[in-house]
Amino acid sequence: MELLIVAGFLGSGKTTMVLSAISRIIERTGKKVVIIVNDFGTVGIDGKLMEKYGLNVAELASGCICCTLGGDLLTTLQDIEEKIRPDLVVIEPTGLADPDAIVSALDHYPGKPLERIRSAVIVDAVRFPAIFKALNRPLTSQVKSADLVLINKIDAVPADALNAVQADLRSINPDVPMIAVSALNNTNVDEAVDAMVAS
Amino acid sequence: MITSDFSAYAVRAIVHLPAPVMPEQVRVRLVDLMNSIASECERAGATLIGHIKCVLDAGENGFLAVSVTDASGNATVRGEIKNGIGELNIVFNVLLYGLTRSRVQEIVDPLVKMRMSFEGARIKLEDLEKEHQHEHGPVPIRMDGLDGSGGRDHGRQDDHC
Repeated sequence: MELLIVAGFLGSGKTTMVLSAISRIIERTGKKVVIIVNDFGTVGIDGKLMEKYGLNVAELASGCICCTLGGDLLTTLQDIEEKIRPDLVVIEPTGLADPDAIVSALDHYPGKPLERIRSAVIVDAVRFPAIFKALNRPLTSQVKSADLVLINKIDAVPADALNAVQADLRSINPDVPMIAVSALNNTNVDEAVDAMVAS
Repeated sequence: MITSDFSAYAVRAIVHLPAPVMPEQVRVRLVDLMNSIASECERAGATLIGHIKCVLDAGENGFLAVSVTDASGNATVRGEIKNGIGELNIVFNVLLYGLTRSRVQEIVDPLVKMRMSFEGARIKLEDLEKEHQHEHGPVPIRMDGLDGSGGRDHGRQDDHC
């Protein structure tokens, strides 16, 4: 069983990206896919939205899987492995989560050894400067630990602003693959999917 | 990314309507409401809006999900509602920095009541955190669609990052 963590700050477009990408992932790979959503709040809006789009969703509501819900993530994951036997589990943590902490929690996964864990970090091109300024350390940590960075909402920023975001991200993680996308408009989503499921 | 000035407020609004309202009317009001919440929070001193989102579940008639990440008035909308609806069930989730939870509640609740006040409507607000703490104890973790039974409960911890 492989895992794909789709992380990113609040409002960066994680749910939109998952909704845009998931059918493509299934079509392209033929894999059986399950989504785990961890929304911050007692009622998980993101999970509910995905269900409305017909997806099977396991929801970890209230709290954050990178810290207090780590144990619940492992239990949920094992339950999914035993009952559904998916090839790929996509985890959408809250926008407050540190993907590295999730990966660390997965070190303690009691089920069959996980084949692969990849993390894609979604960055909001529009709000990046403000978020980078206000939450520099955690955002830097997210980008540093990413296997792939998707710069989202490119439909809403001018080219020079996008270039500035790319330059800032490159200064944090020079080697990470980076793709500029608009999950809402389906711009470069195929390319993003290729990178997310690349072997 | 939880800092000392981070706040999360979740509320459910149940709007009972004397007569069904048209979907477009609901859509327009909901978008206006969400943009108003963002701008009022910013005006009140929010330093960064994380995510303000809501979902209106109209059952077989569809759904509307509205999302805002700044005060620019550009709420994004997903989904649609078919046919007129006689009751609105909407969950709001406000995540931001720079205001206390009670200040957020002071802003959100009156705005919801004002913007969703269709003629003759009765509006009931439920603070979801309080409801769970006082009536149901810890919030269960839902696992829909895994065993075909529509959901199972697991324990959970209440602390945040």
